[in-house]
Amino acid sequence: MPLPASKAIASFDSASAMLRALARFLHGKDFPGLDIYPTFLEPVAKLINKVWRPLGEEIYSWSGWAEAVPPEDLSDISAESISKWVVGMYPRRSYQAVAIGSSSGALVHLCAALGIPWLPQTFLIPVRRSGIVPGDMEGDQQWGRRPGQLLLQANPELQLHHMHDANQDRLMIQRMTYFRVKRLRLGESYERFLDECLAPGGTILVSDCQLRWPTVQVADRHIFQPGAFGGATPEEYLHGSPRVEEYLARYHAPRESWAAPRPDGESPEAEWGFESTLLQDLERLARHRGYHLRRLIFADPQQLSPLVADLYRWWYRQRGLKSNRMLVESFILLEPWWTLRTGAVPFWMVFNTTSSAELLGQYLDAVDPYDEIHMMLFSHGVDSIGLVPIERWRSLLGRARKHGDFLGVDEKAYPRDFATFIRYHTEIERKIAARYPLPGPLTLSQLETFLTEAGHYHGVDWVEHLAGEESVLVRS
Amino acid sequence: MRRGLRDSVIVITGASSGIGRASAVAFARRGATVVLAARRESPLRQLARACERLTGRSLAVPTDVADESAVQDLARRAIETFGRIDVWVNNAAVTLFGRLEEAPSESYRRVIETNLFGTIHGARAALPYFREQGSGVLINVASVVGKLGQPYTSAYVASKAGIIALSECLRQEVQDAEDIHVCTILAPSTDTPLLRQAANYTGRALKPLRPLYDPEEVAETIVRCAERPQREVVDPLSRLVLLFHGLMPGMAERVVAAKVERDHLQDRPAKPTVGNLFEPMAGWTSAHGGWKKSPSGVWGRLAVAGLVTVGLGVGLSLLARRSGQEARSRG
Repeated sequence: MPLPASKAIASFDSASAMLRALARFLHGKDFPGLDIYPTFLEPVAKLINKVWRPLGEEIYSWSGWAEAVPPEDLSDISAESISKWVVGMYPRRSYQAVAIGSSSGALVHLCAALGIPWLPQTFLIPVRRSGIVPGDMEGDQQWGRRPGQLLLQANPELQLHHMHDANQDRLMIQRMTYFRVKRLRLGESYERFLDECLAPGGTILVSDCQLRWPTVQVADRHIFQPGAFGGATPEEYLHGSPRVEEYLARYHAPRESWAAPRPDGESPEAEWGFESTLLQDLERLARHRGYHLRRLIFADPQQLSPLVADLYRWWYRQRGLKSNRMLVESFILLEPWWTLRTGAVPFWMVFNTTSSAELLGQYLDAVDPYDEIHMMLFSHGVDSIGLVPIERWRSLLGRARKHGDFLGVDEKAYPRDFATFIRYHTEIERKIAARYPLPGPLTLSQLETFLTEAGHYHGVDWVEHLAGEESVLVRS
Repeated sequence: MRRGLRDSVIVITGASSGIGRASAVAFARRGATVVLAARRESPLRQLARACERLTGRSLAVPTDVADESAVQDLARRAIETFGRIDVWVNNAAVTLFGRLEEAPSESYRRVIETNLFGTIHGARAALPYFREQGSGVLINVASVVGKLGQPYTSAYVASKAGIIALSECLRQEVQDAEDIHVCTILAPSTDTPLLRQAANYTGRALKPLRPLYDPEEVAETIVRCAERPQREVVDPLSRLVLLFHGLMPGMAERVVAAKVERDHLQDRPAKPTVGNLFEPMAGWTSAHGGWKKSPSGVWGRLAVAGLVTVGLGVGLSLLARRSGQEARSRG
């Protein structure tokens, strides 16, 4: 009996949260409490922020453990059950396109604008384990061999990217480890969904994040990734740095660097990267069914954000909206429904680290000013390497011409502001008065018009993919 | 969240005379900031000064509501000056008397352009700002004749019927925004300069249908609607007339046609005139049209209400008798 998908997949993961947000949007609903926490718990959540810090961290850590799968149950996980669960979340209707592939909050907003679903390639299966301290990447890699094989033997269509991020996931990986799985084959459920719901002559939009990471090939389809995309560089995970030393000293670790295995190659980054093997099935399907196959290629998950922000701004101008506000989102704190209802331009940041603040700052430098900037900030409970302090976020809010503020952020508690998982949503309605009707979806040809007018975006390509031939560049 | 009138910014079209002028004063007396629009600049600025003495804040923007870009400019000026628009009153109107086929088509079209398109332009200008604010009240001044029909005034009646229908559609379009409201005022016959400036191709001089309401009464209705929005506001007498019309439309049409022939047109001849359709006329810049020599007031309305009720009763009993006779003859 396969383990139900909802028990196998982490709800706090980027892919499952983004899937839920988009699915709810296509059902005409908003995304309160990450679709996990009822909003009436807001007072309780605020109380957790005030408790003794180690207790708050324990609650956060145990909440992750509660979702983790015991390693002996990994052979009961079925990739096909997960896919069936995914497609079951979306309304059954005809779509002009379906997106497949990498996760990105900016992609969620693009799909919302087009009124199309996204089928993730990658999911997180959290696995319970003990006896491995955060930072012992070699130990975790060894630990993961047998459980990894259990999972992969039951699922020949999956590739396992076992990852260990002792920087940002320090709280979560005390009691579990991260098995990220990527689909190499489309599978029956995803194919049937395309047959039933993609309009004749429709478009498969491949979300192709090119982010790669140094990895260790553990076995066939089994990869170990030391570290993850965020505040620390791959080199810092492997070789240490003054920042790593300072971080480890702060958390009273008995070492000055992490115990990292030596990488023997490079792979798509575990959480965000696109595994291109899946393209073979997509090419086959497109050829047989007469679908267009377009690839949206981006260097890392947040490189799409400036393009999507400008798309929304352009779209609002076409519709004659008077709004000039930006909604800055953070990791899985996103709200596609309220974005459109408030006439806000979404700018999604992958996390709360330096690269996100820099990207946002560069974007604000390049565009006409926004009258309002509202910002959500994810809290992961750790003063991690690369974490941007609250003061810098506040200075970015100061770039608004009239008004900039946080949405659901307890500035004193950040990055241990666990109440933000509810308040990011409740404060939108309270703080932003504007109310716009939900529009009909953009067509692909409108998107093409925008792309033609907008020009080049750094790190993003939009390509017509022709199997067996050179890809023709539609946009670059 | 909507504000009280004292902190509100109110845009009023057709403000240089009649109901618009009376409304401007009524709002200003309650401390609201008023933005006044009409074609005639001089009476508009005079009115703005008078309102400023009451409220301290007003703005006059000469505007022809038939010109959409001018109405957009009106909204923009209000926002630039005061930062928001809380209430927009689409009140500007002109009228034409004449049979459909005898009125010049450009004059006929001009009535529709000013009244109906002027209201559409106002709604198109105001609603985007209401959406951005999350709040706002759009008040469209229509007329009870928009639901009744009336001979010789089909351009005016059609435009008011259009405004009633437009308002209904807009109410449905803003249902997603709980603090944006669209209200329709079905104004009764009112003592304003409208008829003094009407285009007239009937060959007969005009006079208003009685009983006549004062423009201040209609203005108070508009102010109350701004404070507590209602979907449609009809005075009690008009409600009775509309009930009569709904129950016995054929008889109501004959009654209205006869009343207009007798009481809306004088026996005195009048040469054709284009009135103020294309160019505003000098004079008649007051709220009142000078038609009421003495207040007909409550007693006049009660008299009409009584007549309508009697007429309704007679009509219903005639209907009942006829259907009884038919049933007996079938049996």
